[in-house]
Amino acid sequence: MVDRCRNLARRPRGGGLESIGVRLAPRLAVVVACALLFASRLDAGDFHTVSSLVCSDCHVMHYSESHLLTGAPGPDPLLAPGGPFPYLLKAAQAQLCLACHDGRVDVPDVRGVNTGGYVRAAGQLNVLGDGPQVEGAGHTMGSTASPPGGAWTNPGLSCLHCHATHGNPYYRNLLPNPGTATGKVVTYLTGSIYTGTAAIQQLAAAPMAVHYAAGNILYRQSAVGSTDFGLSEWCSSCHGNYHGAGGSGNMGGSPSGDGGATPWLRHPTRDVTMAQAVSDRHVNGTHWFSTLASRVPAISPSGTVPGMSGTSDNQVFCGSCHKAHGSPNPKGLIFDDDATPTAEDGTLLRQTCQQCHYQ
Amino acid sequence: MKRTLVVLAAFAVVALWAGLAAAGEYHSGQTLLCMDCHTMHYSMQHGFAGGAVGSTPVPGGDWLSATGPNQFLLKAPANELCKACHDGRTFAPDVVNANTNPSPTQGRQAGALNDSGGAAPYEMWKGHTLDSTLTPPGFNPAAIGAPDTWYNAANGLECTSCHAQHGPATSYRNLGPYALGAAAASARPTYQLNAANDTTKDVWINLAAYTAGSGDAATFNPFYDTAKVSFNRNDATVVTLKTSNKLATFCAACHANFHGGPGDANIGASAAALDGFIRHPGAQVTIGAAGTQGYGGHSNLTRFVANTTKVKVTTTDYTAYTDAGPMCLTCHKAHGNQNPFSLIFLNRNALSVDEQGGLGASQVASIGTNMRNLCGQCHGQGN
Repeated sequence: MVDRCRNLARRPRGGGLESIGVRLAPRLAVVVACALLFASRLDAGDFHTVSSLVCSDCHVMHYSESHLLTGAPGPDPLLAPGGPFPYLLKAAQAQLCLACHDGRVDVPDVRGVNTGGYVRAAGQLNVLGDGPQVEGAGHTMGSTASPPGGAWTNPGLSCLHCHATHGNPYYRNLLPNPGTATGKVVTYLTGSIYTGTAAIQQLAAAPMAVHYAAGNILYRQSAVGSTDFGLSEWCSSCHGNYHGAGGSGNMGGSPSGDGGATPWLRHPTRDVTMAQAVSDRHVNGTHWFSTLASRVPAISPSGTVPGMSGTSDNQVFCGSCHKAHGSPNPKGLIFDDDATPTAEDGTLLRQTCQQCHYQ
Repeated sequence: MKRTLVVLAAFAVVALWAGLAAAGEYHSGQTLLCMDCHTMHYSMQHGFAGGAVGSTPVPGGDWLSATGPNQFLLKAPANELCKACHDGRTFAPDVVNANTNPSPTQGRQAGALNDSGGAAPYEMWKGHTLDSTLTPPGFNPAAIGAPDTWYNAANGLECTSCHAQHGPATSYRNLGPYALGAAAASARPTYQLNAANDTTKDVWINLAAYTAGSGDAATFNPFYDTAKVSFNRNDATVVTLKTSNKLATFCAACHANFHGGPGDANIGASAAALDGFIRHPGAQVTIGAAGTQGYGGHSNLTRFVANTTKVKVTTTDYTAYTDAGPMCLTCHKAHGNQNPFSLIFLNRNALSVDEQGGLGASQVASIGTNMRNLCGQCHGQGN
């Protein structure tokens, strides 16, 4: 989202309303062509699901590989010592995912600095033992701490507490109903054409550096009708106190903002548009709607970011301020200097706050 | 004169045995012909009908290899002797590398062995390799009551490491080598050769009749056809290892660490919970069965039953497969094939079936697709 908006910012403006669909038409045509090219061999979605769910990526039947599937001498370097392991995994559950997803360039790197170089949509995890400063900067694998704002009993956080190991139809194989939740999923579609009510629009599914890049992801819905929906709602499965409808006891405000009479108790994560927030005099009426070199992500059902101050449907959500996995910053926060085209290059929290509030 | 008498006697013996050719395996009972493999003096100045003796194998033992004399009075060194007839000949099943004969309907049930230094597509990592001196993966013969010394890898893998060369009368494919000693009794799978199954036997060869020794692929192919061979489920415990078929127990003679059922230390889980496996079970589990934890059912029986092309399982119910479970040959070809680990990459709705498996409609082979096809026979994850 940040990358996408950054690119938009470089283009001459014909008016206040910026339609992503119109402005990106030539680029999207290329994306569609690429998608068609890969359609015959790739699923238009995430890995570890449907035909990209390759059993032998993670499992070994007998914990004995005298050679690899290619005939190369064994044992499989991913076959960790100390097995056999439960679930016929190649390594202990806590280590298996990171065996591929940490420090490799051919697989999305989700821990620490990205060997792939691109700005990741989800950011970076850390692992228990990385040290207090790092562990405070996002989700910590192995941590048994209760989730802030929630009551889920954490047995030791692992990838599978958020991601379905065998894939599913949802965004990034995110688990339906994580934590103590019911009825929470994150729908998505892949492609340049947005239809329906998918929470997330992923523009392209290949190559990897595009697939998982922040700029490839558009956040489209926080609610369908009056029903809570989307990535924020999903996060609330574990962090429920921080999410809710305007007017709810934990959030304060009202479904139509606070209007000065019903103050927010916590920062809203749904229901309130930038236009409403401008009206409520919380969001500055010009800055977010100006030509920023880069932006934090925002939800836009119309796909129009930033829109105009009086009508913008942009909404703040969890991902506006936090990276899902984490970041180099405390609480996994996004620090973004909107004066530079580089995403997430800020050094201060206020740089993020000021994108909307500009006080 | 003496020579004439010997020749006549030999012919008489051949004719006698031919007339009594038995239903069932070759090299067994009435088809165990001494001169197929042995020569008394490594000296055949003439053939059984007079004339020169060739070094090219022919049916009936009327030949002698150029290498000898050999131990056990063999016509050629051990593996070479077996391959002399079973590799590249039209009169006997070809069990090494590509099949010289027309393929059985769904390929050779055991597939293809490879040689040391084997060339593509039958490299050494695609099945059992004759003469290999590697210790078998998972070697732990004590688990089935066999002495650790029964197999000496340093001697190299021989056909007789698996097959009893003098054909135990009731053993499928003459399996169960003599070196196993008393443990062979648990490792010699029985078989039923009939259009009607006998579920007390380990193997069912679904043929109304078959006479061994025809020397003709059109006749012997059905007997060795994957499509004609099924495996009955007969649960037992051998020493401490659970099994559902003696054929799997036989495999365990070399690969015991990979064999067993829930509750076996090397397999993990328990029969009650059916969860917590550390190796894939090869016995005494039923596809789709849920354990007491309620979320057992790692596999899906409905899915398996719906497969139009199934891998082989152990079962006594060939309609609803209510007791169907996996065994070694569910996933592997005994001899080998063109796939790593001699795996059977068979899609559940394959367009055709051969020794390698078979792809589904519009599928393109890749290791990911192939593995998914095999696992997807029983497991629905990701589908």
